[in-house]
Amino acid sequence: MIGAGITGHTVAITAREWLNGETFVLGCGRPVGFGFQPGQYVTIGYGGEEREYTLISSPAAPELRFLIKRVEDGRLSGALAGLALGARLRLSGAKGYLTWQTTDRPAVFVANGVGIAPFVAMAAAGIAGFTLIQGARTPSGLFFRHELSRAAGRYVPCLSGTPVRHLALADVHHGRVTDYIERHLVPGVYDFYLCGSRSMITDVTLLLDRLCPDARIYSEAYT
Amino acid sequence: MKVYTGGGDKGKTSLFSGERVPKHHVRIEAYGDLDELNSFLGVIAALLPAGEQAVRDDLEGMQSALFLAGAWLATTPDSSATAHLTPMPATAAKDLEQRIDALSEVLPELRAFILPGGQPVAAWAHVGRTVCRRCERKVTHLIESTDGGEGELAAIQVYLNRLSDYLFVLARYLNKVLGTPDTLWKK
Repeated sequence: MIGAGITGHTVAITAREWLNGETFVLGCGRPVGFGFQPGQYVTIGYGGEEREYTLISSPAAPELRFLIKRVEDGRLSGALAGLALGARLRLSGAKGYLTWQTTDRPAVFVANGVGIAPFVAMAAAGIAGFTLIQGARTPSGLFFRHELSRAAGRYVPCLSGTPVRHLALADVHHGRVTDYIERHLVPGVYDFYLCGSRSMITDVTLLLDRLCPDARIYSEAYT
Repeated sequence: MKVYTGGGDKGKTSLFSGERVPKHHVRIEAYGDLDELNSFLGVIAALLPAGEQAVRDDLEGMQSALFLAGAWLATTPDSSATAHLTPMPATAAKDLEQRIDALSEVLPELRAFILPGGQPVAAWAHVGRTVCRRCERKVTHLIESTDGGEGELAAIQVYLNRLSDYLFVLARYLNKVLGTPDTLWKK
């Protein structure tokens, strides 16, 4: 059964790769003429359920990829986690405004959890040189950290739920992204891109109002 | 689910172009009033008498146009975020003039001021007209207080000017079709 509320495309699932126990990358076919900007999302529909997911693939890639967290009791994410390859999904056109802005101001990406998705797409599209502050509770939640650290001018992983003695990663900040920003970010006129949990977005925004009042902030929260 | 958010609890909010500004910023004032106007158009549409589907369609079109306008008001003109915005249709103001002419055909010529009021739906149209005028004032203030050369804001100001005229004629039209004559101002 295919979600009926979306007008757009029908695509088949082509791949699923688990990144940790609850988060996976879903691959699917790319409809002819489907265009998007890195950072945009689509509505995926299946079985009467619909939900928005951000594309992580490059706009030039032949297939579409999504970073998805299997939510407890989540009807669509649970289905997407278990559907057989070849199952068909409904897909809307690309939407959203958390896209790359070409300016002279240095860009700082701040993400937690699957909120890293738009920045994975931007890096895949060749955007580089940004500062990335990526938050997670454990190292396995630092999705795509190798790819992102190569594209970033500065990459700061922040782990908030892992005791220091357990950390094998170099250059990890032990604490939340807000803690890193407050202690270490040099005040300046930046373009901030925030994506992740609503509480993180709110906390970082209020912090930046104080630390970098002339910055621009683009944000997208997940619920 | 995506939710656009910014920490607004301490009196600041984000423009579409990313700047953090106080909630009384001239752009916030302008698009806030536009939002109020849009809501009044919704009230009018909700109260339309049966058989006025064409007017309902017109109002919905105007509500959509106000969303476009609001996005421009929320974006500084030098921002690359303007690439996301849809220009106001070139014929928007002309289209309103045609709708004004069509509604006016059934109305008697007006030779005096009229009192805002009459049927409830017409009274709401008058309220919408006055809110529209306030929007226009906010937009002209915004044009003057920024660089003054923002072409899209100029188009929005013209559109609001026509829209307030439309709402005046619509109020009279609705009173007419509901059998309530204009109440002329008596000195």
